Amino acid sequence: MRKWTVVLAVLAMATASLGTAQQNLIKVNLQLKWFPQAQFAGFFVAKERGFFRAQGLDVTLLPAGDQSPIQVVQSGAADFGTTWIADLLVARERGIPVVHLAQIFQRSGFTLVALKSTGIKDLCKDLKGKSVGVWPSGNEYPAVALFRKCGLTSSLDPRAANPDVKAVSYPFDPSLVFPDKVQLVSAMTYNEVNQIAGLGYDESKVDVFKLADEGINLLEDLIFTTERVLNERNFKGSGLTGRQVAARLIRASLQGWDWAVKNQAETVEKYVLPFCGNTCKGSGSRADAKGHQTWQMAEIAKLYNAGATTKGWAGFLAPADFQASVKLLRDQGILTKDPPRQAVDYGPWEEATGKKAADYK
Amino acid sequence: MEALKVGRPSPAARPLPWLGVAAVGLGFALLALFIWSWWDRSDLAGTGQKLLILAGFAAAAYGVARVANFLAAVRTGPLVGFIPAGLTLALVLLTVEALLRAYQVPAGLIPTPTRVFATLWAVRDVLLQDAYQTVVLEAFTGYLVGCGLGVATALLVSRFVFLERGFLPYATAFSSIPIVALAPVLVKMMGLEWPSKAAIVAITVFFPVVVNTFRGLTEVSPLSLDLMRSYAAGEAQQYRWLRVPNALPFIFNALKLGTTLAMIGSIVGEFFGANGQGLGFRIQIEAGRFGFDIVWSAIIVASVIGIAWYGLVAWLERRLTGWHVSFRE
Repeated sequence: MRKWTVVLAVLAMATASLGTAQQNLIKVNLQLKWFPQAQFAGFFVAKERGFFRAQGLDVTLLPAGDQSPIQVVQSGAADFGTTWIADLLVARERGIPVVHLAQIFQRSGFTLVALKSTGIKDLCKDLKGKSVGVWPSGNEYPAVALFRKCGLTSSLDPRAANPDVKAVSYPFDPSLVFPDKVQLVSAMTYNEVNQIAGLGYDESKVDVFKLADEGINLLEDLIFTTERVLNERNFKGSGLTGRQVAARLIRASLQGWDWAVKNQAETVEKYVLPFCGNTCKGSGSRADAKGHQTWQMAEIAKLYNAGATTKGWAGFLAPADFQASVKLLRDQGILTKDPPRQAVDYGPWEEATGKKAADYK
Repeated sequence: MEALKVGRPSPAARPLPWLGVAAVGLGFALLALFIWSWWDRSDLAGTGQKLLILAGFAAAAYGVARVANFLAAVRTGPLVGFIPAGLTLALVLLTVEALLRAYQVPAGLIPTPTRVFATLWAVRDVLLQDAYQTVVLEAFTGYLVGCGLGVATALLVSRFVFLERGFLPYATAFSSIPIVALAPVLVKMMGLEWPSKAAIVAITVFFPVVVNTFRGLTEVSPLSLDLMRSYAAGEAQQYRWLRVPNALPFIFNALKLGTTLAMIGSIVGEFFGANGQGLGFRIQIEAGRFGFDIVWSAIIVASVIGIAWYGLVAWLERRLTGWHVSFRE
């Protein structure tokens, strides 16, 4: 009888201590913008090397298909998410209370790729009458901004009955439409450009037009959340406010990104490839996942190591860059008014880094 | 027939339900009053205003119920018969509009009905082009092909026993699985243009048509068959005078079911890739950018066309199978 009591007591204590150990970690869901790949290397490193845990967070990285991360975060299925700035600001204008917290990529990696044989030399002049492959779910804005800047209407515009440019939507695999169905196809520097090359259209056969070079430098991967999460007084019963959790998440993520960019080979080997299965492969002759992700990691590092990051302000949304993105979106009529002040919150980033946004030069 | 008529009082014999009419008027007025007063406001409504909405809804609902009861009791034409349904629709729209404004639900989540109708009008040209692509090119072409092949196949299957034994079980099985799951495969195989969606539609409507038509062609009264044989009617004559007429009600069931399947197949097919046009394309693109006023507009267009199409087939059915027991009064 007594023996059993002791056993039971030990068991109870063991489960209790296990329980508290798990309770101490705050469960956080971070919605990625796409399937696992080197594009999110910093977050994988932060998770697997324990940076999140060191901040008291138990972070689940949620993959996405072609659905908007904003919808997931808005619905509460994820607490934080990564997305692009155009997507975020449009949602804000339509009344979704999303808040920008940290800017991971400081430069746009969006390109349009055309076969040299199409004779497209100057995007603005040669776009009219062409078909352009775009991805839906808020990933079409850079292309829309380009069309508008060139004074062209497109079939993405529900108010243009005879569009100058035909936008073809397709589910992310460029081989579905390129080069048969469209003359130009959307491609990220870090992913589809290499896939297209793998399909037999390498640099000698295609022109890659970086939209950043065309004056469309819309900022991409950033961390955001909703006002509801941010204003939480007691985040999931953890005793921390939403802002404090956000600050911890940003601190650990930036640590992860810094490590990933400095240790690219190890990151790909240990923290990307084991988590990304089929979606990490390239295409055709460059299908090998390791090769593709190594290349992607190098391209991602270029987007991360730019702008504010080079001044030691990783994750910082430089006000001038933000204003440039806003101005572009407003000039092209994608936004009809300036976003409200609450659309960007520097507080958690400042708490995470100990820097003051006002000090940025 | 005569007995029924006598049993029902004529409209003149029953007084109009003035209380009900007044309640409808009052309820609609209260809801409209709130919407009007909150038109440009962007703050949440107070408890008083919410109670006003509730009172308006309750009054109008009570009134609609009274009016509907009255109209059900008197024998009237189809237009008057539509009044209760119309009033219900107006009530729902007004209440939704009032609630969305009272709680300041962002347009990026649920747009107000007025906003949807304004958008519908503003983007009508593009939506009509989209509808042409989705309905005429994809759904209707696929429907004609699928139904045509379906009827032809059923004729063959009913004639040749080896087809009935070898093919029909698969058709039965296929007609109960969601063919729309094939959409991504077909879009990848046949490309993003409209034929891939037409193929999805054709396959989706094909199997129900085969199964239903076959049943109609074979579930023939043995007495009728005996009669045909005693007239020495040939195979073709049996089909012409007995089997096909007998199958018509079955075929029309499948055809009506097919209109809905065709609209679903074409719209969902476009979710997996489209060439810049189509209702499904529009819905997907705009849902991704929180343009739900346009999404709802596209849904309205699709619904109206879907209902009209169904109605057309139902009208044809009444013209061609008016003799059938289900239409006899």
